[in-house]
Amino acid sequence: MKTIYQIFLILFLGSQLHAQQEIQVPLMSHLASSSKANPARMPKYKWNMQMPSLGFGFLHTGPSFKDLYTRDASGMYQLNGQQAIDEFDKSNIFTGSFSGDIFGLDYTWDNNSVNVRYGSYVDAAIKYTADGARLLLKGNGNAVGETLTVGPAFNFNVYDKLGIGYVREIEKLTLGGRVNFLFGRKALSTEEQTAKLTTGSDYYKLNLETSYVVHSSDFVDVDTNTNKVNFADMTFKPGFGGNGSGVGFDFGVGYQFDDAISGYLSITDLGSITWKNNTSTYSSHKRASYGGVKIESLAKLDTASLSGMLDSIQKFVDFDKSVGEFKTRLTPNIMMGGTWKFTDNITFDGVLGAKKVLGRFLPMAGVGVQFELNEWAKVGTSFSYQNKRVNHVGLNTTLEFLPLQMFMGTDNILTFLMPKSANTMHFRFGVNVMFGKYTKRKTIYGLG
Amino acid sequence: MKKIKNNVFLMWMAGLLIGVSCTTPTDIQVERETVDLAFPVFTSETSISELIDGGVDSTALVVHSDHEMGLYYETKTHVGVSMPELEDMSLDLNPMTTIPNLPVSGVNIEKAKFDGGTMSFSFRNTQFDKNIKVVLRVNQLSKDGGIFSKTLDLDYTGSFPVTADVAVPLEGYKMDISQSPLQIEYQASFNDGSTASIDEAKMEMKEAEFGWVEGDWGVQSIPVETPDHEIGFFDHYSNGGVVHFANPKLNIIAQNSVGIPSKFVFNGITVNTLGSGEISVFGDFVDDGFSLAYPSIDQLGTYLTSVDEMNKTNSNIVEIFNAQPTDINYDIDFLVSPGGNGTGFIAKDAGVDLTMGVELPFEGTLSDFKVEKSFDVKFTNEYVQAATMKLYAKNQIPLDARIQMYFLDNAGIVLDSLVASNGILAVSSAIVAPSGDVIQAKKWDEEVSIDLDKWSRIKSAVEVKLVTSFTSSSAGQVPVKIKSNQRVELNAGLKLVVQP
Repeated sequence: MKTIYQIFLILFLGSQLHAQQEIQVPLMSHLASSSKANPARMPKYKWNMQMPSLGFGFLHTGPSFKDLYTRDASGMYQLNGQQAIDEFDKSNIFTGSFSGDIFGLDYTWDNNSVNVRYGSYVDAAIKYTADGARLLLKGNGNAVGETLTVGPAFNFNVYDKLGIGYVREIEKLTLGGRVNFLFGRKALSTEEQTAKLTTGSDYYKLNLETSYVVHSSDFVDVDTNTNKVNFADMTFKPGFGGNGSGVGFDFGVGYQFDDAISGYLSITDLGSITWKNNTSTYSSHKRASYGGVKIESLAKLDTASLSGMLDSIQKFVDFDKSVGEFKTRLTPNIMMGGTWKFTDNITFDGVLGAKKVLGRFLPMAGVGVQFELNEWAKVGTSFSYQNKRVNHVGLNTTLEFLPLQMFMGTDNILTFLMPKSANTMHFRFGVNVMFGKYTKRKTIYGLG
Repeated sequence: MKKIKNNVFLMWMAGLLIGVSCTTPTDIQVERETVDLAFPVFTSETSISELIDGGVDSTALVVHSDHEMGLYYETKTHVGVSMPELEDMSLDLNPMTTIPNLPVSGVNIEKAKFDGGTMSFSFRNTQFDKNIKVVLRVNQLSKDGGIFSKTLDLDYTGSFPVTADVAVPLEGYKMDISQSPLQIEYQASFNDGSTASIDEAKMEMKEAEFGWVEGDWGVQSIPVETPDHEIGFFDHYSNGGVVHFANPKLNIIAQNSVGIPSKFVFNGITVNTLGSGEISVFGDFVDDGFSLAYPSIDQLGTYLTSVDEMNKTNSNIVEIFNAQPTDINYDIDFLVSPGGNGTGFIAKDAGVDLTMGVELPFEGTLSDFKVEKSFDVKFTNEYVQAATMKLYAKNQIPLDARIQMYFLDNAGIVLDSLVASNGILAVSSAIVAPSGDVIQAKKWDEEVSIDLDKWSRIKSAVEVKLVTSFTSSSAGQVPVKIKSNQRVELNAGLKLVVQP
């Protein structure tokens, strides 16, 4: 039973690291960097070096800016609380990420290829309830007599990844795998996140029910006596994180169906980080009521008795602090894609993917077309489904002045054109260096 | 074709770059909507006694075992009865000397006990060259069961005069002269037993003090000095309103150690009132006086308690207390032997401790009876746009309470009030049976809005004066009983409209 419980925790409740889902990179199958999504991708050149490739993005399953604000006659946007509340799902996810793929090197010989990857990643995810948003936007004064389920769940992780991979081509089949050594820098994540606040109708008596556990590693330090929050130094320092360690795995398989069509299936980010240093855990398991400052008699009501109110409220949301290691799991990212080489200069790509962030299943799908304009320029566009919306138009460009390959792209150009309506954002650019003998692989990878 | 491709690429790049460069919208200047924060401010449980505490001398509040309570104001005095003094005596003695009347005034002594003094005897022989023995005896004096008796030897040593003296402390001796007067006997004899005569025999009694004296005291009247009996309640709460005490009482308690029939005679009782000036108390209580229980000689040293009560059946006390009395003045005499039979005793330090207590049970009616309470405040939150105070009460006290809060500045000037001057913030009374007893608590809640204008006026206040006006059920027409276990639970919450 204990084992089943542990499995349950690992699968559904365990804190998760989660890289932002990217669509553009998998669709740019001609790009060496697309091996990020497909570990079974066989490089075309004997040597392939990935220079820094930086990407960032956010995704919000809740309303966009435009849904939250209305514009008044003076042109000023005003938060429309009720309109905003109506737009929230019962449960909403916000994810933000920055991925810095700092360095990568592939060496390929015969039907074999080994690779090394190093990068630093920042991932943040917050799951909040409509009640929580309502409390934040409108306060509890509009929820008198109601119980608000406000407990937000969140994960904020900063870590480095050093991966060593191997790809083997067997006729039409390619198999790839990568072992990733994980070095945790900072973490802040919830293990339990139930917090219910009831505001009584009689005289606004507050009842709080909590089952809340927050883990931190070199992120925050809370003085539980004063509830003062001190943030750790957030300066990025080169090297490897020293507060946690773990191992992750990526697997992929590709298949060449005929001369024009290939496909792949991959699962990446299996594994976890155990955080051991600079850790602290803040927990609250209580049912507490706060009825205001308790005064023995109205005759004794004075300023001094009222000044104790803040202290009482602080105790009302008291957390216990403890020290000990904790574990955060990577969020497996399942992806399936394919490429149809329509002509020598045009390919069509498709991708399906899914991951589960803070208990919320986030699927995505995209199709794209890549044009080779000339020997040094490729452009592409895509249409994708993500975050319950289909209005994602991606653009990408690749410049190749061998041995340099430079690229940039976005999953949704509309984000930048109409930011007020956006609830996803993505942008990535990078540089690859390819040299050595060019090998026409049996498997095809897009243009080129 | 190549040109077209190049143009497509350039357009593509331009679209991508232009699109990305549009990341930061410049026309967004957001303003947050107000947020409503609701939270409890205080919760309290209090009784009427705690509410008026501080305004009333705390010793004035009394609670009985049945939770009935009221105000109690008392004054005390001591009536001392002086012990008769026995004058010093000096007598020439015969072999049988009788003292028919002791030199003492105010009483015909029958029995007494001495607490001090001496009785001295002196004998002188100037003619017999023999030894003489003198035996003294006083049958009316005894100590520890033994009759007073002394033997003196006048031994001849070859010269005259031959003298013998003795001084006997009187402390502890009892004297009983109820059957016969005090008689001092002596018998002088030679060694052979023959009777001798004494040239000179004397007795002196000096500084005699009685421990107690029993006898006939006759009729005596002793004026009693009583301090003014202050009733502070109406002085403190004279700020309007009508209080009707249904059952006021004046309890008079005497602790008496004087063993003589006696009573207090009220020559007059007058009351100063706020409402009607000076009022005289009259009725059977005043006319009859207050007879005291007294100890018998067997109960010497004990105090017997006598209690009497002036109430609405034997006086006009209700009328007096509806006139808001401030103090009572007594003209009282302590009358010994009121019936003429003055036989009894007085012990040293005997007297009467007299306590007079005005009891005002919280039973009656109140109308617009105000209690004020002030406390300092400091409002500092400048983000508050408006506020709503939510009051919730559970009232077990049979009084309606009208609440008003005044916000005062440094100079004590009222900046504003919680509700409009003609507004009502009334906590309803508990439900009361015809007997005046509470049969069910009453729940009550009220919201008071404080808009931006009002908030801007009161946020500079430094003091809040809470004025509570109490009225009993049915607009003060139905008598109610206020008990110590009746409480009012008052809770306050605040909803603030905050502009972040």
